[in-house]
Amino acid sequence: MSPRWFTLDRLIALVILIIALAYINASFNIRMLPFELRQPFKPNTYPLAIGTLTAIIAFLVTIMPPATEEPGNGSKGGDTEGWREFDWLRFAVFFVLMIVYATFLRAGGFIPSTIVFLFLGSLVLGERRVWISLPIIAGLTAGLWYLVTQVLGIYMPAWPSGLAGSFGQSAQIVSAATPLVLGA
Amino acid sequence: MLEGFMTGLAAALSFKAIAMVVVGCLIGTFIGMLPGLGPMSIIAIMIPFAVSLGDPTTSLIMLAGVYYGAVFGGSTSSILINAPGVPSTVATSFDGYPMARAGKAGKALTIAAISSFAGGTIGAILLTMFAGPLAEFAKTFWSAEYFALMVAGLTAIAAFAGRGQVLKAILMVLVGLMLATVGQGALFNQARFTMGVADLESGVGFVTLIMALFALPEALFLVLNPKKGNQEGDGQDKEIKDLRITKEEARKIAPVIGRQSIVGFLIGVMPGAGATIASFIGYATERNLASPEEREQFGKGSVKGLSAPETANNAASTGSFVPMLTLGIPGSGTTAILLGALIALGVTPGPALIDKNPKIFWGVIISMYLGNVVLLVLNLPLIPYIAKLLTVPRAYLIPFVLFFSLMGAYIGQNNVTELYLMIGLAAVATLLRFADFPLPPIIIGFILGVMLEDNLGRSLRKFRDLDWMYERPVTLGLLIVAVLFVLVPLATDWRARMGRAKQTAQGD
Repeated sequence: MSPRWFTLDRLIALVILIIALAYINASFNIRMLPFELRQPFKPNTYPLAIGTLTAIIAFLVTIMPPATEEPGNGSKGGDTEGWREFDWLRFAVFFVLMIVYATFLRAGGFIPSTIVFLFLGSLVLGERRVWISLPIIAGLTAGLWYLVTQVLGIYMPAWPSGLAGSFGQSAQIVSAATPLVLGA
Repeated sequence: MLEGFMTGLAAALSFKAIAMVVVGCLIGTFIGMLPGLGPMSIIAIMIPFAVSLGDPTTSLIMLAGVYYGAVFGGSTSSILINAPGVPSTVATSFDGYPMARAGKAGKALTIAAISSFAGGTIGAILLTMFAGPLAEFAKTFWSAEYFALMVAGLTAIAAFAGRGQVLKAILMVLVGLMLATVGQGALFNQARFTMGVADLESGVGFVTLIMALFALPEALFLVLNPKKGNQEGDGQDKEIKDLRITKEEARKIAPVIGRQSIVGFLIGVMPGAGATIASFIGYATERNLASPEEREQFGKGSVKGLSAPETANNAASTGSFVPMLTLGIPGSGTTAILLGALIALGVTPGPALIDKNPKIFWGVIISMYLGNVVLLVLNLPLIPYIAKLLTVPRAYLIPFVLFFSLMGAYIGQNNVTELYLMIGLAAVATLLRFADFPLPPIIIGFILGVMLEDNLGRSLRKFRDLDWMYERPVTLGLLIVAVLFVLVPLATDWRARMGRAKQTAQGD
């Protein structure tokens, strides 16, 4: 086997193989009621079947000779061409932003968290004209809050708990975050 | 059947339904034009809104409108800025973009719109004719046939996966099937594979999975690759005027439309093959059928070359509703999402749909006629104005797409764990894209997974062993087809791989 063997798609297939084996193991450990044990179709019958099939196919993908010259390097995807020059840092920043947003969505209140999320997002993507972006984002967030809570009927606290209705507080959060990001 | 048809007609012609067709088409056209957002993401984003409408018929009519609106919008960006938002409109850009560059953008848009309209409408006529009888036939199916049908539907994805992708596509289907078993199913009392996480007991949210597989990676790819879809400035200065086409051009595209709407529809009906394959086959067929001097024009702004993929992809989109409405089997990623939306609305898809919910069955089909008219008479004249909106700066667009994705998942399951799950799955999906794993099979597997297990379970409980697999002719036939769907492309693939391996060995 040449070093080429170790491509991204094979690595992924290997990970799927491990997951499939764990899945099969978990299938054996599903707790069943006494009557279910005597049934021809148990809660783990189907999981065992698809788990085994997954393991076999994943194994085949890891040992198959390559289909294209450079599998896993996006040889025909088009999307992934030139991946070395991609902006991976910005990509990572967005993941962190999403996780932080998800964490603070409830505790921080919908309106402040969303404004901060959209604002930092636009900042990372190169919008430096804060005096333009902030009012736009604040206005749109108000519209989104109306859409989510009134039109779609989802319960969502607008402000941080305990500070209901305190506009000053949320404005502080935003204005405190602004110089931090601009400086960085 | 006529009675059901009339119920559907009444539902489709209600004020609310008509308004939703218009809204769906407009939103679909607009978002479909934006770079990096395909029909699947758009429909996923619209699901919470659709559910809030309350009535499944209206919801599905709206989502279907969003679907063909997005296909229409995708061809617009293919023509104007050579940036197909969707794979199914890639072939449209071959001749549409050269026409726009030659100053005939208006004409190109009109030809695309007329072709789409004709393809969609002829598709809808065929759908009206065949959906009823097919559903009647499918009603004779028992769980055993239904199980075999789903296996065939799932393996068909492999058959159309393309070179070197067969095993990868099957693997992705299986990943979808495995994901579907997480949580508490309708079949058994206990939740499975939750790894002790209480929030997982309700299973992986369907909207969560679509957002993670399509909307988030598409938006994040725009973050990753600053060059992608950045040709927007290119289209701005181009004046879109003179939407008229000549008699001569109409005469040229008429036979193309006739052929490609039927071929496209048939390709769309087959599970696994959808609008993308239909558009490429349509383009290639018309190129081969054209006279030598006309063939020269292909790729340089041929009206036939523009009309063929546009007719075929719309006819195929309509055709893909056949297995979805009559059998409850999604033939493409998009119809899988629509099917999931139907389930989310509390409607059980399958052959019984036509009897139990004739309003939905016929309402959606009839609304398609209307939707195609909306696209032609309402959206086409609006295109020059909508195209101006293409200037929405990315610094705003991407954070908003991410916001809508997160909100969609949150609304679906109402817990924050779901958001972390989605972000994690999005990272996995991005990685899978880099390794050339096809993603739509995951969603098709996920949607069919529950029904697959249910039907296997019913068959096994009824017959106690596996004899039903070869004792029932329809079941056996479908299973043989399923095996062939895997083996034939696999054999071709294997031969190609071995040939290449031998070549490299000799070359060293």
